[in-house]
Amino acid sequence: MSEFVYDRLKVLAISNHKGGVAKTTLSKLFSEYATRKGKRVLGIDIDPQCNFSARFVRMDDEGSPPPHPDFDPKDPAWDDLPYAPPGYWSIAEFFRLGYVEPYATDYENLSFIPAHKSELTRFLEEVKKSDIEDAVIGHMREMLSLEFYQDEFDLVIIDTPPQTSALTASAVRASTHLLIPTEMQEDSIAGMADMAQLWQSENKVRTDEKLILAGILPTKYDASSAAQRRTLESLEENAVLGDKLIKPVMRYLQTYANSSSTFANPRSLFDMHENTTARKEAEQFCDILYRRIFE
Amino acid sequence: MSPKKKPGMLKRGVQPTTIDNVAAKVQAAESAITQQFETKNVSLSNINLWEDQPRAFKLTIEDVIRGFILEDDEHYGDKSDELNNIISLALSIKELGLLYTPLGFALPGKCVQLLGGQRRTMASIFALFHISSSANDDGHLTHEVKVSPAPDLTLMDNERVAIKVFSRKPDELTLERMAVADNTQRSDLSIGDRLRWAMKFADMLHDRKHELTWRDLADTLALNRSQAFEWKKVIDNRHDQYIKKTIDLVIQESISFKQLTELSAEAVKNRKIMFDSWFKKKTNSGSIKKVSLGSTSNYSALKSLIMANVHGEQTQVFEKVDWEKPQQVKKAFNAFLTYWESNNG
Repeated sequence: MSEFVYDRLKVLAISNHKGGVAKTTLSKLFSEYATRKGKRVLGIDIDPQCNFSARFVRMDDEGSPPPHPDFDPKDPAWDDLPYAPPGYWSIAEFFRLGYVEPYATDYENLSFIPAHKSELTRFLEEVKKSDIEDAVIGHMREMLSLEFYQDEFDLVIIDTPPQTSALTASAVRASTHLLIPTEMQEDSIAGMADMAQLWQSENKVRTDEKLILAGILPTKYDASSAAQRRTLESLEENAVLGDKLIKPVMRYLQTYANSSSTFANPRSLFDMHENTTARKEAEQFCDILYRRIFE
Repeated sequence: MSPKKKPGMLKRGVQPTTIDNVAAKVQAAESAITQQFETKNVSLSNINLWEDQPRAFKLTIEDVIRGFILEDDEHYGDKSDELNNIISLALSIKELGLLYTPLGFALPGKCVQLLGGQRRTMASIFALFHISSSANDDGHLTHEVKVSPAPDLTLMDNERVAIKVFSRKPDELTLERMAVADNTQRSDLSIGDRLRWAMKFADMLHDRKHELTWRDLADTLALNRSQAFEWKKVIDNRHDQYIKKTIDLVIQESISFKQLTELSAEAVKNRKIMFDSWFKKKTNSGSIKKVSLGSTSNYSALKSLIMANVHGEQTQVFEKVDWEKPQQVKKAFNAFLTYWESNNG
């Protein structure tokens, strides 16, 4: 692994094996936040649900990205690829062809490699049946250590699917930082133990730069629930986990859901009025995360 | 009708055991990061000695390879002593092997940067070039120092020593602590070296807007809690003029560390008095005037002291004293003090 060392690129994986803990919402929010802070950001979606992709790339009804505007079918470079590229670029091509061209987005500093619903699902099935899992796990790091990614971007944000797969493992291998969102519920909290296990086993194989836990962010927090309040208090009081918690927590606010939908208006939570509760909260937890990654 | 009570523990939140389990896993994962090292056999030519080590050390790698100190060397005295220690260590390494593994971190390529174990590594180099071993009649190995006039440096490529190598460079503060901890764990750092390190470390923390904690000192210098607090008091007050002077005196081994901790425990306004009471001559106008006999009963000793220090007419005055009577002795002693002060200040 030592030959794939990053120069100064930071890669954040947002992951928890438990579904519905706001991974995608956070991926969107933090991509927008870091872009606004002037960082050159690359968003990568490896979840076949394509929700993160749909926010920044105009996906079709089948969950496929649109043809890439710069794609030239007659480019002789394609002769070197195992098969002719389809005209769009998705994370599936990133894995299969070892080549992809990120899409430009509405944000000047944000580029994107989208998922592809059917191709990604098919690819995962192929991986399961073959013995290429190890190659897949190492692939994303190898790609991101290429000069292009090192020069063009400051931060890569990867939204992962809930289930464990070679793709999630590949994202974790490629990352410099890990953010674990969790709800204040038994299943989500227990799921963090698996994430800690993954974090530890990942660092066992690394000889160079270790994977850093950027933080644990409580999400969908409902302060009117006594059970949730107690759980948050217990986490805060815990000698180990207390330091890892990012505060303010992300509360259960409808604004998050509204602003993160594909055709939200205004486009971003950060375009809403500066006194919007969710905006103020998001700016604070994104700022903590940002500083943990870059300072 | 009152609302029906729900069975179970809905309001208790997540079970404490679940949280404890997660915390244990996170802690395990975290400690795996900070303690990631492996013991490697590294050739002597791939070891970079640590230049900024906590020990005040003058000897250089060139001196060790040469095997003797040049006579015109400005640190000839210090270096000769250090080289003698290295030679003793080299002989013991030759006899028993390297008992404590030096500590370092991996540099790009095959090189290792030492954090601790500089002397041990130097001794290994000295042993390689300048100690020859031979078996005597009963099969025992004997070792002899024979300074080689032209050491073959290529030998360093093949001679390997075991080093505990951290896979990445620790951050500057951790590095600073590990290096000194490696030495204190073997308790061969002088009190002066420890003081110098603690002050340097506190300055580094200060530059980063952090404060030195008793834990830093306890963990690194292998102190217990109360000792660590004594040390912290000293280091926190290191810019006080009297503490500063006393630290210098401790480093020069002219005063004990205990006195330094006593001084730093004293209120700021009293430090001058305490310091002066140790080091300054009493002056006529000084604040300490009262001298009493206390409970001394050894009057003959007093007589000897006084008679040895009086001259001329005064000798006769003191000869008249009845040295058996406490009242007279007391008077005589006060008269002697007045006489002594008028003559000597």
